[in-house]
Amino acid sequence: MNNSIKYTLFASLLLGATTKAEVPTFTLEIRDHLFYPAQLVVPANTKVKLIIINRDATPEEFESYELNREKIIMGGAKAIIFIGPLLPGDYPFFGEFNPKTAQGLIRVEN
Amino acid sequence: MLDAVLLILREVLEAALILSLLLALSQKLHLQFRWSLIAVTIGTIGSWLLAHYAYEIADAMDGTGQELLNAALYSVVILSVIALGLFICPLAFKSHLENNLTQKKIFASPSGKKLIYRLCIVIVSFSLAREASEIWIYLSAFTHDTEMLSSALIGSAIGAGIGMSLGASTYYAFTFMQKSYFIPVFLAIITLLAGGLSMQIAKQLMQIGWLDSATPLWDSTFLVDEHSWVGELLYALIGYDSRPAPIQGIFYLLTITPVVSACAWHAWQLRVKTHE
Amino acid sequence: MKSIRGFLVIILLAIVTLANFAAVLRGYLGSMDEAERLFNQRMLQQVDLLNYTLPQLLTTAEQRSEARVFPARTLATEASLEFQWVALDGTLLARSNAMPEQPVVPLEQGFQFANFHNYRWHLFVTPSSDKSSWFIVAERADQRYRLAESMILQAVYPMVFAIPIIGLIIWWIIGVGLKPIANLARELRQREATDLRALEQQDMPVELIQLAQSANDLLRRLDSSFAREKRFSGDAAHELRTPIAALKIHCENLLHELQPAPASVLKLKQGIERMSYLVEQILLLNRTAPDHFMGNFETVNLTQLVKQTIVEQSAALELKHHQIEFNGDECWVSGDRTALTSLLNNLLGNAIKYTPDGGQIAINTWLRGGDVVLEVMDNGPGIPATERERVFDRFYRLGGDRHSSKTTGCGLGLAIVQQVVELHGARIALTQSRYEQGLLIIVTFTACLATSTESKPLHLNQLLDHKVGDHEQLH
Repeated sequence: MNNSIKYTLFASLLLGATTKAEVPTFTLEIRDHLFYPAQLVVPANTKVKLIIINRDATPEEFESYELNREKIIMGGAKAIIFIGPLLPGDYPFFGEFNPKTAQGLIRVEN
Repeated sequence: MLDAVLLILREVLEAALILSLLLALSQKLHLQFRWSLIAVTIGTIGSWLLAHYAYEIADAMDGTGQELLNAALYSVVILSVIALGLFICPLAFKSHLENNLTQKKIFASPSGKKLIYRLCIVIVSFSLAREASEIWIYLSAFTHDTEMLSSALIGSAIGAGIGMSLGASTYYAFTFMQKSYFIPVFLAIITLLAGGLSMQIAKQLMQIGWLDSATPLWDSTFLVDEHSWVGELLYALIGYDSRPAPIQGIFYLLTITPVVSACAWHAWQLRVKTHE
Repeated sequence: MKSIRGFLVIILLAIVTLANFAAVLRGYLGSMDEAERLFNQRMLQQVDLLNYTLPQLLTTAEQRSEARVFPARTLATEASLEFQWVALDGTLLARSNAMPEQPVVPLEQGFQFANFHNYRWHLFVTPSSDKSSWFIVAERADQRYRLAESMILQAVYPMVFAIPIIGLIIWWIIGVGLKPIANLARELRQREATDLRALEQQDMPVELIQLAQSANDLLRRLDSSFAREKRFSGDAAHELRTPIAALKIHCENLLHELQPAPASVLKLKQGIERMSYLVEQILLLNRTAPDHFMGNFETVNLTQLVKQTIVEQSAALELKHHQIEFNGDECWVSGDRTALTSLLNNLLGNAIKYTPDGGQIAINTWLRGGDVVLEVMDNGPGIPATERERVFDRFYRLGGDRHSSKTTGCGLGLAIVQQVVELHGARIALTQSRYEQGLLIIVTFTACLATSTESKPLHLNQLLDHKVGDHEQLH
């Protein structure tokens, strides 16, 4: 069974490598527990690379239930998250460590 | 405070349920409980190390260190769970008398016992290390502000209290279960749990772009929201995901295959034997 | 479930924790909603205030090209309310110091959120009462949240800190509740092996009465079966005495009638003597068993007793040409005379029996502080260190029946000795003899002061280094 997991893993590795170059990239910043920009528009049905830069000294966790993503970004660090391909619609995200203020929205449009 | 409750509860609940499940197994198989102390100690130290080196880990491998390490930790736990499942499996498909004999044969041998202890220690300590490291990092975010820290701490206490109380209740619920029921239930839960964890591996790999995500297989959010109370409990117990990607489904199926097929084989053997 | 107390404490604490924290969370959510309503209400009040004051400024504002900026508040507060006053066309008429120079949100009535000046803000947007302008009232989200939460947390803290205290109380109360079980266990543990009295049921809780009744039932049956067993060996040995005595007489008669006596009759006589010895030993073992010893403890002159024993065994000593030596202080112990006599008889008898002809035997009684030390030493074959534990077992003989000394015995002697030692709370030790070889047995009693009830003590000079020869009689 290990072999089969590995096999799928390698197959998708190759797949990922070929598509890597054309992935559109968007940048989000965290400052004072706020996301900038708070709303991000990305193309639909495309794999998208998000670069999140945490300008605060404290760690933050990027989390989105709708996108099914969560990642801790330490203070002053940079994180890369791939999302999509997604159907058009609104996908809210938030900073789990400061959910009252760190809120944002990814709008997927055709 | 509420954020802290939810965050800590999610982390503690999963570790507490795994621990209580394995403790219940130890109780049913008349094994010692000392392994749990070792596992919790290793897990706590491990979690602290993971939190302490979080920068270095996150930066490693072109910024994919965090996901790859998580995936590795999940894999070790999954493999140990599968090994434990395969080891316990024969007990579920034996008549009562035979059951005792098999158990004596397997578990009276020091090597058999040692194997179970080791697997339990690995499962609990690796799970705990991964879960608890997030708690350390979370709390470190508030060290500069005493007011927010006390709010976070009180929330953590509530979350941890609820998580551990549910774990303790689960443990006693299992120990009062008859052994003939417990073993199959245990097998079913750990198999589903391993499947759920494998979906987490897929998620980690999708996050760093190694795997491509696609439209979820289904969306059962309307039935049980993954982030509701029931959803969290189901997630901790059987790795429930309300919107799994297709690749996650594949991981899930591959992971549950060994134990499920072993069970099927044993069931078939039992049928053949009784027919004879 | 390994411990009832552990189970009850953990499960009760878990239930209390869950119920308590569920209540905390419910209260928290409710209070936060209520606080939200309160803060929104405050914004509405602020709008009222702006409605009262600002429209009067409208005429002056229109002459100005720039929006009027109201000074920052001088009082330090945890949460401030800011505002913007916007004309219908979107130009800013006035603002408080902390607000930007442009309207922060589109002019749509209602509560909204916006990020500016590094903070997330709660906004309330509404037209002025004369519909000629708009008010935007703003409050920092983090301040509002903190203010609300700090209020609610005051109610949450005690509920969380109560949990460990509740845990301790539960632990203690369950301990009190389980006390009768602990008491019952202690009563059973502290009982002597022979104490088979029924358990006292009077103050017992109903849950334990059934258990106590069953235990009493068991104790009663055990008691009767013990009694049966006790009687049996004693009775059996006792019943054997009469036929053996008869056998003895008939054997003597046979010896008289058949002159010269045939070898088989002599062997028969030996066999009967052995059997008689065995029966006596079994009776002795039975009588000195600690389970049902019916002794009569008094102050005994051990030295006197030793001498008597030597005198009684003088025939056997003479037969094997042993040298016997007796040294020591005059020692008194509290004990049962008969039991002590059988102890001395067995120890001296063993020494005589197992030491080859012409051997040396020494008996000493020493006063060592509060202890009386009885030593019996010979230069026989001794007992290997590895066997010293086992020789006290019933019917155990060194090397089995092929005993090197070729002497007969039944293997009960040291078992009897040990029982007597136990009865007197004494200690026994087997070691290497001070002769070139042989065995030294040391029995240590607790010393006892001499009393006048004992027969006349010996004179000191008689006691010191009193050597008893083969043929010497003490009396």
